[in-house]
Formats: sequence, C-alpha cells, structure tokens
Amino acid sequence: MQGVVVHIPNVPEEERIGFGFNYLIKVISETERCDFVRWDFRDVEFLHPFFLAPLAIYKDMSRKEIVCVNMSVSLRNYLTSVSFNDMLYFGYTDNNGLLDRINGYSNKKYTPFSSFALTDKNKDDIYTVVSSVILNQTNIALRNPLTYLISELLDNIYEHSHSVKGYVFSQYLERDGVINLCIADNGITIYNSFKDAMLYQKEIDGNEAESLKLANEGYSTKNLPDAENRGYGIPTSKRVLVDGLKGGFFMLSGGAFHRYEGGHNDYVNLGNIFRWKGTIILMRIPVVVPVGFSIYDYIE
Amino acid sequence: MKQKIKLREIYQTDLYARSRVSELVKHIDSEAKSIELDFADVGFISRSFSDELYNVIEKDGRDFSFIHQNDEVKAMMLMVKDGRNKERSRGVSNARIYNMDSVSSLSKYFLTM
Repeated sequence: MQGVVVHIPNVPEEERIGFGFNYLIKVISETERCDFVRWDFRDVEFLHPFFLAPLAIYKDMSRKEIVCVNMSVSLRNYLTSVSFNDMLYFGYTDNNGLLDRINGYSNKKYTPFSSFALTDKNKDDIYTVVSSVILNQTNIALRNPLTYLISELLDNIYEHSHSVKGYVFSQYLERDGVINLCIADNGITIYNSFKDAMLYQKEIDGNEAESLKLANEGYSTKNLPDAENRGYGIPTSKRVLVDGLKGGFFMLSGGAFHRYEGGHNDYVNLGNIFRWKGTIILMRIPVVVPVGFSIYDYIE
Repeated sequence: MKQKIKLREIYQTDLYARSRVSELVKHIDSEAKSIELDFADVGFISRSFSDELYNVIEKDGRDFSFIHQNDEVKAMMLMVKDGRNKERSRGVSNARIYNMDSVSSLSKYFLTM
C-alpha cells in the first residue's frame, strides 16, 4: 500500500513551546498528503505535552490510517500508559469501569488521553474524574484555580462547540514545575459558532483571528436578550492562569491561534498554512501558587 | 409552604456544568411559596452554574434562600450575583492581530515563544 512516512521529531521537556508548534504543523501537513501514513518515532526520546497532546488528538480525529513505527521500548511503554493509541472513551453508557481505571492515575504525574461524548449523562463524571485526578497529583493551593479552569473550559465545549467529542490530557513536568493541561473538541470552531449565531459578523468580517479575539474578550453567542451575562469563562480563566498564576494560555481554533502569556496577547491568522478541526486549548499551569493568591481577584 | 431542597441529593459535591441546573428545576415544586436550597457538602460551584442558577431564580420569581454554603460557594455566588447587576467593562484591549502569509513567517512567529 502506497503511503508516506512522516518523521516524528524528538521534542524534549526543555524545548521551547514554539518549536513544538512548528513541528506539529510540519507533521500534520505531511500526514495530510496521504490516507495511509507511518509515523516514524526512531529519534524520539520525549515528546513535550504541547506537541504530544495535539498529535494524539489529531490522530484520534483523523480518518487516515496512521501507523506508529520504530518506537523504543521505553517510548512505547510511556505512550501505552498515556493511552496515546487507544484513548479512554467516556461514551453514552455506563462508565464505571473507566472511572475506576482513570482514578488509578491519582498517584501518577499525568492523566491518560481521554475523550468523551458530549452528553448530559456523563458530564458530572467527566468533570469530577478529570478534576479529582489532576488535583490529586498536585497541591491543595491549586485546587480552586484548577477546578475553576477545568469547569469553565469543559463547560464551553458542551455549550458552544457542537462537537461529537471532547478531549482532555494533563502532564506534570517536575523540571519546569508546571502542569500542562490540554482541553479540546472536534467541533465547529469559534469562528463558526459566531457565524452560525449570526452575531458580530460585521466586527469579525471573515477574520478568524478576530473571532478568537471576541471570544477571548468575553463576547458570547448566548447572552440573555437584555444582559451580557455570558462569555466570562475564557477571559476569567485566562486572568486566573496568566495574570494570577503566571502561567501560559494557548488556543488553536480553525485557522486562528491565540497566545496569552508573558505580556503577549496575540491573535494570529494562519491563512492557508494550517487549519485545526475544532478548538484546542493548551495551558501551562505553575504548581507554585503566589502567596496571597485568590481567584476572586481575577474573576468577575 | 417552603420547599427545602438538598442539592447533594441531586448532584455530586461539585457543581460544574451550566446545563445541569435544569436538574434542579425538575425538583422545584410549582406549589411552593418559597424555596430553600441547602448547599451542605457542596464543595465547589462554578461561575457558569451560579449564573444559570440566578437565571432560573429570576425567571421563577419566588423567594429563594440558601443555607450551608461554604466560604468558596458563598464567595462565588455573591460575585456572580453582583456582576449581573453591573454594566460590563472590558477596558482597552492590548491585543495584536497578526496575519501569516507563509510557512516561514508563521515559523518565525512561533520561534518567539
């Protein structure tokens, strides 16, 4: 069978985030060229979570046949433990076995890749399991901000994405003192959620980065008729994470990218270079909470 | 007649999803003159859940009271309630929009991170 071989680069823990994004675009662009693809891991010793998470989610969403080859034993064991190839899936029926399994990760530094059907039935399960497992891996001072981030950003997927699946993954990198948390969906993208609601079309004017900016500044598709009561989830989560905890917030939705960290507040139109099917949020969460920190100083 | 509802009989300890407020609505007795929500053993309430709860309360029109809120739940609900009565202020945006027209320009941008 004809196919392409795509080289997966080594993306070590200390690698800068931007390198990971560049590699990701290269790998996905090459993978898109053919329906049968072999991902060659021969040079991989480590994969930074901000590269690994989108890669795993892309693989799950893709209809292509992607075969992973040339993995070292240690890499294969690691990717098996994080369910890279076979994500845990919280579906429409009883999830008790999965809940027990994911709870088994409480004493680890990562959660497995988990996808979930967007149903009312499993909402409580997803929220509770994801937050409790992640919280068990960190310290009590992070409980409130982490729970806030997870609850608001997961709820956004249910409320706005019109997607079939959501995704979540986290990994604690001790060297950096951060939890890298990824929350994603395979939905209609932020641009299309505004377009479908026929809201702010003049302001957006076909510009996907502008739509991302509006969402991040709290403009919502679901306000009450006479009040701006919605749209607080993303901006307040960013303030808690970046302004409060000095972390980093990155979002990729359709053909637009957003970076909020270290004084940067950038929205980037990717043009014809790259598109992501859905929305993915990557957060770098420092585990050391500043003295006197309170989420109520950053949310409204 | 005052109806008393223990939220832990409907939900788990943490109240997350906005849409789950609809479960509470199903438990509200249309004949009750007032409703008391008991937050005993509720550990966390999200901003979204709080906002939707106030939507329900305002639409319902009857008197709702809350008991046994822990400090975090009380703080979140007060903050959300206060915010609903204020005009939203966003301040001046310091955002920058970039338009990438080539792989190399995008790559250069990512290397600034």
